[in-house]
Amino acid sequence: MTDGERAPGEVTVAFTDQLLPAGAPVPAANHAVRPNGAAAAAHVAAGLGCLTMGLLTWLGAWQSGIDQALTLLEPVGPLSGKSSGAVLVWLLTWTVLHVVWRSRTLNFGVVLIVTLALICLGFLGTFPLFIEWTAGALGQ
Amino acid sequence: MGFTTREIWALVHGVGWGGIFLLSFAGGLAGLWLLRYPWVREAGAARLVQRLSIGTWIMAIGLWLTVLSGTYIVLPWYRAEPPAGAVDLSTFPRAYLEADPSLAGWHTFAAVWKEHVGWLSPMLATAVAYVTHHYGAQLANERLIRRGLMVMLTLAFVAATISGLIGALITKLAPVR
Repeated sequence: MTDGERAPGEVTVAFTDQLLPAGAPVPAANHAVRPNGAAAAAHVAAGLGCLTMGLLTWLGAWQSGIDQALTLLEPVGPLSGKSSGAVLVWLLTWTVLHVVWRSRTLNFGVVLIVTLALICLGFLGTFPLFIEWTAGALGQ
Repeated sequence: MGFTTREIWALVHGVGWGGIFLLSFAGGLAGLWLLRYPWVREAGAARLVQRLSIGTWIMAIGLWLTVLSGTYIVLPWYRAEPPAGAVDLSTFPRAYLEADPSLAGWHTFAAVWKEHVGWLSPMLATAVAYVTHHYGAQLANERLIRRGLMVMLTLAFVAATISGLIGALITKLAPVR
């Protein structure tokens, strides 16, 4: 495929026979580079989906009424509502963030830190010992 | 020797679809690690990212099939309530575990964690697949995005491994039959 056949925005990378210093980006003349906004949206939305799963799990364990409300399908139990809620939040936030950020270039270091924090909170929210400890601390 | 329909579904869920991701994770991570200039050249990057894109989508789809089959097919069999006064609980895994104080933790801690943490994996893996596909060979110049993808793929693997390992251990103690 030649450069002329590339889709708008698709990256073209220069070819060189010379070794470049480690970590050095390849010079990119006449190259359209996609901004990192779409990647940021995918990262943060995945983190928010994880956080929602953790939060709903924690809330359901803390208050049995919430667990019952999350039972969309009786044979599956509250996991049906928790997983559906998490997926819904993930897809909705991904759509919104993608539309808002796709043509922007963001500080990706900050995006990574926020994403990692959201995912870690999601993991923590699903961990039974953490739920037990926090619910105990809240007097449940 | 034979398998019941429930045992076959449990195998398809855990070993089949779940196994796809667990087995292909190392390849995906290595691919993302290697996708950088000047370690690869243009032709190499294009070929590598094409394989990575296909591989990460297969991983993500495998994970979705794993959690969906686990939640909506296998879990109802695990959660099934025995009839009142039932003595033989061998076909009611959750009730079987809860009835024995020395095994109850396998439900209250292990199974509960497994059911929930497993759902983190497909969202993370799908984000990895999308970004890999969307940016293609540009990823070779995007150190931070590549790093983010490796972190998300690794965390998806951690969640899937926790879920898979606990599932295998519970199946050994109280299989769905």
